[in-house]
Amino acid sequence: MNDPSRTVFTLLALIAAVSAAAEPASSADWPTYRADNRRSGVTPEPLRLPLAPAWTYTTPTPPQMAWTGPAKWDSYANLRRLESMRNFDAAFFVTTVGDSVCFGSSVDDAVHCLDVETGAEKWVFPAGGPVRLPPSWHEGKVYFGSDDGHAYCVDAATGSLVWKRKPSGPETLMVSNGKLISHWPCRTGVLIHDSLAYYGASLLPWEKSYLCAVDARSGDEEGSGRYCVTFEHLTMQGAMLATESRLYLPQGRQRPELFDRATGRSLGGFGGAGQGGVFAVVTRTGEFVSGRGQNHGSGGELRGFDANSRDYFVTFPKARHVLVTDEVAYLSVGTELAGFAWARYIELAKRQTQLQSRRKAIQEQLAKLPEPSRGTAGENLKEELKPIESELAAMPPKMTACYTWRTTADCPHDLILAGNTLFAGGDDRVVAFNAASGKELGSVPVTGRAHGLVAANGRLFASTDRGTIHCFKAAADQ
Amino acid sequence: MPRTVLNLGRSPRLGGLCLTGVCLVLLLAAGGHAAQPLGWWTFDANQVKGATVVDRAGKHDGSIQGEIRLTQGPFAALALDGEANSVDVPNVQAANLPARELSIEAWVSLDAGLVWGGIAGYFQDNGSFEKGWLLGYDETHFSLAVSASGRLTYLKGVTPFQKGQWYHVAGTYDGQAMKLYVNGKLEATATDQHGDIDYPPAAFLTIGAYRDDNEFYRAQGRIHEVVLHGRVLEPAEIESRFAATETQIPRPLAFRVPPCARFIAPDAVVVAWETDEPCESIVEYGLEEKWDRQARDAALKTSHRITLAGLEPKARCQYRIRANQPGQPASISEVFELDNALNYTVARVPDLPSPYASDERGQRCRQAAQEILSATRITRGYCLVLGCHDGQLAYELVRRSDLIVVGVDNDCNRIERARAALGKAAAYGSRITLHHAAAADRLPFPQSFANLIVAEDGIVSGELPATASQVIPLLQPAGGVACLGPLRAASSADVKGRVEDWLGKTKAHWDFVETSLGGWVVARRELPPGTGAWTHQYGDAGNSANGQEDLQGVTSTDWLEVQWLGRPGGDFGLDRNPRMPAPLAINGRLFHQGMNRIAALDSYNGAVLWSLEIPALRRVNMPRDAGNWCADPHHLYVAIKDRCWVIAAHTSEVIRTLSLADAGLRATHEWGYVAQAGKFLYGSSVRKGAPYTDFWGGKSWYDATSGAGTEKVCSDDLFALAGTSGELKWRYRGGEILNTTIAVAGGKVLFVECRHPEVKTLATSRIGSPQLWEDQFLVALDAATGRKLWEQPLDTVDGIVVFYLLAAADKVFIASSDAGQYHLYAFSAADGSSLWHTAHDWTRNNHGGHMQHPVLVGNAVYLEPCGYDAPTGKLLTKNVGRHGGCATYAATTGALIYRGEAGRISMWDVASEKVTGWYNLRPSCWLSTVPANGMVLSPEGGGGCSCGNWLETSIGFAPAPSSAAK
Repeated sequence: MNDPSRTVFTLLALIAAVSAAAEPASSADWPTYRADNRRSGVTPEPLRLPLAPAWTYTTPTPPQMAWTGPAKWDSYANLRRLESMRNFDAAFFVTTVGDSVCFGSSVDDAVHCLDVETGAEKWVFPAGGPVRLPPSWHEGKVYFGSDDGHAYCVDAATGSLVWKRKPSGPETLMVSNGKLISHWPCRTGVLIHDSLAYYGASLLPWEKSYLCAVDARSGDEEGSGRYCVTFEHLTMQGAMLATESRLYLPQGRQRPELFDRATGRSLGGFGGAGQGGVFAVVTRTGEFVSGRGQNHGSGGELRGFDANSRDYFVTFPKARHVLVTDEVAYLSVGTELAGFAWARYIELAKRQTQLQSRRKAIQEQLAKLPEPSRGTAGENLKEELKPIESELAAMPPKMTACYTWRTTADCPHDLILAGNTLFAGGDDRVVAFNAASGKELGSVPVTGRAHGLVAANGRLFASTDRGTIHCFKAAADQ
Repeated sequence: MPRTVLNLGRSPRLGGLCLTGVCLVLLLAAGGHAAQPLGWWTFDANQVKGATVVDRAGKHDGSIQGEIRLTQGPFAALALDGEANSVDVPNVQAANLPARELSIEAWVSLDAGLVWGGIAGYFQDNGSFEKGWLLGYDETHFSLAVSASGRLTYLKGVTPFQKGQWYHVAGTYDGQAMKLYVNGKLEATATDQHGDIDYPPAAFLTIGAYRDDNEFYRAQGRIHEVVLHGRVLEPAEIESRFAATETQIPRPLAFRVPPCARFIAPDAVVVAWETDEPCESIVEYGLEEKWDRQARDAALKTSHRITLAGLEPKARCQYRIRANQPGQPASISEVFELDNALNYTVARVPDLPSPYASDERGQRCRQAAQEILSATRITRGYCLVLGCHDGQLAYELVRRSDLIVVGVDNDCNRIERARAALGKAAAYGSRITLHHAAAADRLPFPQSFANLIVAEDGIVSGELPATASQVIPLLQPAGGVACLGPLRAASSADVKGRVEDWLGKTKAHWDFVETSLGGWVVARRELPPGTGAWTHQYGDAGNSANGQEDLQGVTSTDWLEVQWLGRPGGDFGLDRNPRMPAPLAINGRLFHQGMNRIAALDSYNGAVLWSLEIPALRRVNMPRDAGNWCADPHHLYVAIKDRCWVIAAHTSEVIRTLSLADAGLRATHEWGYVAQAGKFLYGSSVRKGAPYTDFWGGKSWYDATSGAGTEKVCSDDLFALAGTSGELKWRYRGGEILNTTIAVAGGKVLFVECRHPEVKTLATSRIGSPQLWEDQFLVALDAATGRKLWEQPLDTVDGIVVFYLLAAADKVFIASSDAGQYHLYAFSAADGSSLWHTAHDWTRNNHGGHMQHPVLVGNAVYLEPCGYDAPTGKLLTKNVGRHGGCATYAATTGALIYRGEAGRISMWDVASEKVTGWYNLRPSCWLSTVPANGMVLSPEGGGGCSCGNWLETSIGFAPAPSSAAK
């Protein structure tokens, strides 16, 4: 068997030399959930089209998700088709480095490592509970969390245990959907940054939650930048994200929480009550976009915040995914896919938010003025409102003008960018689009809803809600 | 404007085309329409091309928005999902529409009513700006709206539409009168409007939705055709047009007992129903109403049961039932839905070769599995295999049952080998998981979780595992069985000695079952004293809101631990807001009611034992009606339309369906109140349609302080049947009995009835008339004979908001709420004499603050925020934990459970008055968290609330093992 860890290590060292930020281990690999710790879903790896099936891995039982589907509606608020805010384990998501591809299973409570060429199983590592997010690769090891409450480190070549840690300690398990699991399951995945492994152990918001940083090689908890801190009222679930200075933790139905990476100190939440969801991305330009929670009056959306200050600046109504590159962003909304100029758009969006905020403040000031004496002060405020209203009125067309293309794409389940090609996961198919024009380039069939797409090393992987993992590669190579 | 048959309004395009008799003849030949309509849209495969529905009358093709789903069959239609699809007819302006003489007709089948429902229209209804016309409907009736000389007049029909049935609806306006026809018959006329239709400057010609600038409410159902005429159709013509098409519609199938579906495998469901006449059993089903699959039993019968196979994972399929009777035209039911995401049956273990050798040990494991299942009859829930060895016993058990098996062993290597073997059989994880424990005293399992405990080592060794004090506490205490052995013992005396030694001080009943393998010790744990049950809407038949659960003395959420968590979730329910019936819990089972469905869960581990999909099941607004179900240790009694279903709690089999006591009421009434006490089942009759079922929109929160939604559901009679046989024991008929006041306690049936003559002659059993509060009597009947024991005239403050009765053995309490205050009255249960009366202010006039149900705890009665001494009425406290949301209270013997601060589920200790709660855990908007079976059980009831950070799951809490020390 080849040793993918060697390649990964070399590339990591190269990358580390030019940038301290956590980035993919290799442009060709896909070493963690959604490619990198920012969960960008973007890889420079181009795939040659058309693609053809290479192999398919099937399991007799589809993923056993931690949570049921959401309510069918909020009838009080006349909202239908509520989005799930906790579907972080809808498929057996894969990560891949070199000649191996790994996934965690919510069915057989194990991590499986497959040969990327054939799909044949190389090793299986059994955990004590469901593994709901895919392993992260780092220096020849894979890292993952389990509902048994442990974070694990396993040798990527052999599948043998290197270390495991359970911050909550020994406990009486609880029954959950056919399994016995910890009251503090690890449902954040394990994120590797600067040779530290970060993970959370959390579920019940009335119990304490753990956020831990340990040495990635040894699992040691003592040392600089390492900690295991506890919090009240959190429910960490969904893949953790990181930048150089921050950790971002989705929380299912609760809003995402921001932490200082160096100390584990909580820095507050993004958005308000009900604005949860487990889709999240941190852009290189400093924005945190998350969703798809909903509150009274909204129908599920992605919301954009300043990644550090947590200031809100934009909503993408009913959006399901956003991919952000340095120049262009791609948005999946309902049955539409679009490309738009990100920098210009967020500049306008931030300005719009500022204006709206200013308008609201003035309107509140106006409302507070007693009617008889409103006089000059009132007139001044009204005058102040005029240019704001005028500028706000001009915003929508400017923002619309940022869109370079829109196309119909009934592929709402996932979206990634590989080189210049977008891949979108739909029902029973994955569709490719030209990222520059939105032109559909073709599609490949899959079994079920394609929730997990990965492009790496000349291959496209599609994980579906049926528990199937499809591997495709260029037809010309087969 | 003089009426003319060929008047085509102001349509220049059509006006010039068809003003000739030739045209009329051609049109008749072409489509049967006497004159060219202005628009004619038929939703079938011939006329729908992609997203376009061709206008058979001209150029105004419609554009289908959202999903395009054409139902197949003889009466094709566009399925309207109520969410995202409807039909726009673009580029239409008032100039294209009838100026004065208008007819609009449609064939439509609705699955749901709406406050503002539209079939086809061009209008604006925004505040006082009301213009145009609309053929529409509300929650119950079809309507026609026209504006000419003033704001829109909404003319309502008289026939309530039946969901799922096809109707021909037509509206006409001739400049003087509006007329509404349903199925060819004139139902309503209005003359409020005069002159030309007053059109708005701009509007939307929309089909399948109510749409103007401010509102867009889409219809849910099916639409076959819409025709817009620029002339007034005469009554005879409308009748003939209805009659000409009606023949194409299959006869609606009338059920004796409506369908009930039970999932039996991940891909299969059994559907059962009853018909009055013998007929074939035919179910057509498929995805997206494509009836491409059929299950059929050609035998003629009235009681039908048929299996639908091949259901796709997590997919919603539709089914309809067809009845073929000899010599009769076929009849067909409305369309029902099965959501396979709500199929909780356990995963199948694939038919792969066994990973185990067929040696002597292997054969012994196989036989042991068979004998264990036979001796215990435990085939569902959780099984714990102690000393699971190589996993074969676990494997053999899941091959023969629906058990979920948890194995434990002290040897890591053995577990590793077992996992590998079970992985090969595709059984690991989906049905079996294995755990390591260094020693028997360090088992990481929650108490009471195992329905079955076995030991693989013992099969070979003949020895009992661990010690009873380590094993028995893990056993589910309401029917759980430990089956250990087979023992190697010389004599029965030897066995007795060994077992009693093994049990030591551990309390358990045990039997010895001899089989070919040897003798099995079959042990059962005793239910702890103080274990309560929640058998009726408010705990017991007396409505005390207290199931007498003592939770081993626990009165704080701090001392309760999560025992289980998981399915059913938000998708199981109707929504959190419409004040649904409470869950029930007794004899180790938890019954949870969702959106036209019921699930039975094991109270101690959350395993879904069974679930039933019953489209006809629904009742909401519990503050104004009685619950629709109750339970005893072995049965569930569920009021569904005109019957009460008696369901075996263990198996989900519908044992029988009971009819209303008075045969003369069966055509006009449905089953209202239901309670079980002693040997009797109590029921009542309410007029059809009286129970609340609406759940959509803010109004269905039922939070008003008066008016719509606060009307009380009342019964025309009350009766007792013997046990489950249904034999009538007695029937009482007096005044109109308020369902929320019926209680059974202390051998009496108590209630409040209104004998006002005007109330007694009302055509509805949902009564909001002021006379309901006049001529009232508090009545007590002998629960066994129905003999009236006493009655007392009653004059309380009118219970406009809510009006409840609670009964204990010696006292009766009535709570009445109106005008900012609760009034609480106490009466002697011996003779109905008044004992005391008190009143206090509501805590708020919304979010349920004005409609709380009182709670009895010992000698105190609590009604937020006060508690009173039950014998004297003396105020005990004003500090009852304040509710922080729309739910009401339930009690243990020492605490109240309710929705408290920040909307979380909370407990208020009645002695210390201390409040504790579970952060971000919410109940439903009425009563979904109940203390019973030694647990606090909270099946998911808050789903749909996008109003916060709720955990949204079903959950069971048990007293922490260390709680006694606390």
